[in-house]
Amino acid sequence: MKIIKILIICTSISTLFFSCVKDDGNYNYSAINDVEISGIEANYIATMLDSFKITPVLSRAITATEANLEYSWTIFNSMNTYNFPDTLAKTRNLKILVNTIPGSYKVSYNVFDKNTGVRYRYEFNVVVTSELQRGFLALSELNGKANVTFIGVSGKVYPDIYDNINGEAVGTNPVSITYTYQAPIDYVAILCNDARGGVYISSTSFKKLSDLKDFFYDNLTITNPQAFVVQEYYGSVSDYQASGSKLFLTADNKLYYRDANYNTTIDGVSTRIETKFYSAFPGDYEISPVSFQALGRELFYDNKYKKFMYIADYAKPNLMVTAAKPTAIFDPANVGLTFVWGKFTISARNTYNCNSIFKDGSGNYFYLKFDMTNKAAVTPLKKVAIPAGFKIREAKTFAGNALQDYIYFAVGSKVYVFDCILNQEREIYDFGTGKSVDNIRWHEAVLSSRIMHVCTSTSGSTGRTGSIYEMNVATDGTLSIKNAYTNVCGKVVSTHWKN
Amino acid sequence: MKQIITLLIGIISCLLITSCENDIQGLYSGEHAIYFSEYNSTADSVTYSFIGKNREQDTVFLNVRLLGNMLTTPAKVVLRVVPEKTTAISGSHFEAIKPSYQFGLNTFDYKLPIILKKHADLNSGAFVLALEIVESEDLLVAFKEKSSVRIRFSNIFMKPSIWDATLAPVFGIYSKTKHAICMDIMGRPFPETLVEFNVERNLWRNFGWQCNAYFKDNIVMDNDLVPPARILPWF
Repeated sequence: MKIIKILIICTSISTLFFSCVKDDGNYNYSAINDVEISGIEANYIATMLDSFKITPVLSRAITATEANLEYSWTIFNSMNTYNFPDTLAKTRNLKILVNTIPGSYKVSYNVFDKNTGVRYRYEFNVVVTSELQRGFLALSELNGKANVTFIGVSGKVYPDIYDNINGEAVGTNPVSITYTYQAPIDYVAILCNDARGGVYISSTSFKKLSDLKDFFYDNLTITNPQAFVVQEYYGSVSDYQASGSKLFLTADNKLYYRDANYNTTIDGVSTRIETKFYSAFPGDYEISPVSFQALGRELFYDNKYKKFMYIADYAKPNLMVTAAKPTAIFDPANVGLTFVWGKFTISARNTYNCNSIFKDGSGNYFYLKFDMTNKAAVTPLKKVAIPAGFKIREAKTFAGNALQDYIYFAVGSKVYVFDCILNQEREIYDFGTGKSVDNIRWHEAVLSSRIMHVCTSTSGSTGRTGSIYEMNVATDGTLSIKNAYTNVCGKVVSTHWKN
Repeated sequence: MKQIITLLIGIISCLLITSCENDIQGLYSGEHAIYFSEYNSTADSVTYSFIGKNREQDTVFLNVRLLGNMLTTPAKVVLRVVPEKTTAISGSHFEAIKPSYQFGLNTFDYKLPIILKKHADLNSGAFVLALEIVESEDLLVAFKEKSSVRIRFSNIFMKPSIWDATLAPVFGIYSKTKHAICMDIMGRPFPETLVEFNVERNLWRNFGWQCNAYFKDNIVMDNDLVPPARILPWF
């Protein structure tokens, strides 16, 4: 007890001595003209490719001036770790076109007073949403350049979307646009017949990911790209592309194949490996850019030796010729005709019938029907000469589907249908004099809604006269306009549906 | 009352003594153990050739995997050279094996480096370095059949150990002449492990396509065969 008393007394005495130490500090403070940030809400929702504006209120503690202030708007990743910041703007007010990919973010508004060196900061949340996920893609030629237009499922049109996002034109001489889902990433591949050959863009943000040539194992220059095809599955929207669909590219009449992405175990962790296109299948052939794709099987046509070809083993560089049937209505191994267009059509369960148009060297046209259930032994079903006066002979754009035994096609301003059972054709829609139907297509993802997309432009125009029509298709094949998006693009060369 | 207290003390003491019994060693005891993840008693070798590699020494990494929870302190990995299976000479053909290596924190894998030297002896044939994981003060041996590995190395063309199972469907039947020409076409040596192959599986397939095309377009005789015969395309 005595010891405790002594300890308390000593501590008290020490405290008294410390209190008497002379304080040399400077307490002559001068007030700072502090900045107070207000007028910014805690949470915002921004839509990708929409404008996003915030006008903050800046109040000063002493003198109301905004001289000598510097500003920055910085966005951080959704993990809230302040890593990988991106500067949105360096202006007092925020006024931007949102091109951040969808997700949850924090944005920091920073004000720096150059006079005092003091920084002021206000942080808020932004959720970026996108209407760019699902919708219609159109690749057109506009004023001599390739141009991409996107129409979201809400009907909002995003013209010049590639240019707006990437600050450059996608290329010249547009060829095709294709949405492809290769888990875990989905892309859009654009082919252009120019020095670059095309690009891969992010399906979510439309930002360019790489040049198309970067997706080849070989260091090659792509010349004359003709088609980019992804295996599609008919039916509901969700499964129209498998998570790792096979991809086929035709360039300069040669066929390239890209295997689906795959997983492998690295250091005990299952890791996704992104594949690339193999070298072209070797051999003396000229593969048609149009191929037959039916539920995981594909069939090609060699326009040089006029025969159907297929891939038996995807790990081997061998294009095989389908079995010869010299006594059939036509011989799949020696058709003797040049392939114009064809597609998988309405078929019995587990059967894959195709409709197709061929021509010979004398200008005669033929309708051929065959069964590709066994791609190694295609079964010929029908061969009919198309009469001389039929418009289908002049068509450059075709469409077909798995619901009807029809071939849709367009010539001039009119859309026609060829009845594959009756071998008759009839006009089903006329867009009027001066208009040209440039592209028609049924998209597998929206097949069940019986919508065909028809793209038109003013004949001879190179400007923004391109229009896109969503058309209802009746069971007898007749068309009626459901939605019209006028003057949103140039002359459309290719379209696809994006999920 | 006193008796009850004595009894209780007796019971508690018994319980305490029982609790102090040594735990049985096993997967759930928290004991750490290691093994070679890419090798086993049937596929226990990795091949390495200095051919195509412009270097005087190179490192082969053996993946050692941890069994159990991740380490909280670094642990010693101890290897021993198995003399009866080893033909390579320490110091000349490979850098002497260290008394111990260190398995780091926050990982289940440790790439154990073995440094091979390009000695003139390697020009005449392959040498073998057989290694075995031995129990250290920190780490047990997880699986006996996955505790050994043989490194076959040389400065001549050697058939990669994964050829028959993995590379043959891509590159066909092995021959030294084909090995040399393929390396020329590919600009890189063949993969030595399945992981190495799988990471770039489709690239190797593409190389296989290219090499096949070369042997299709060119008549190349395999002089290692008696009598010499043409290397035929395999696709």
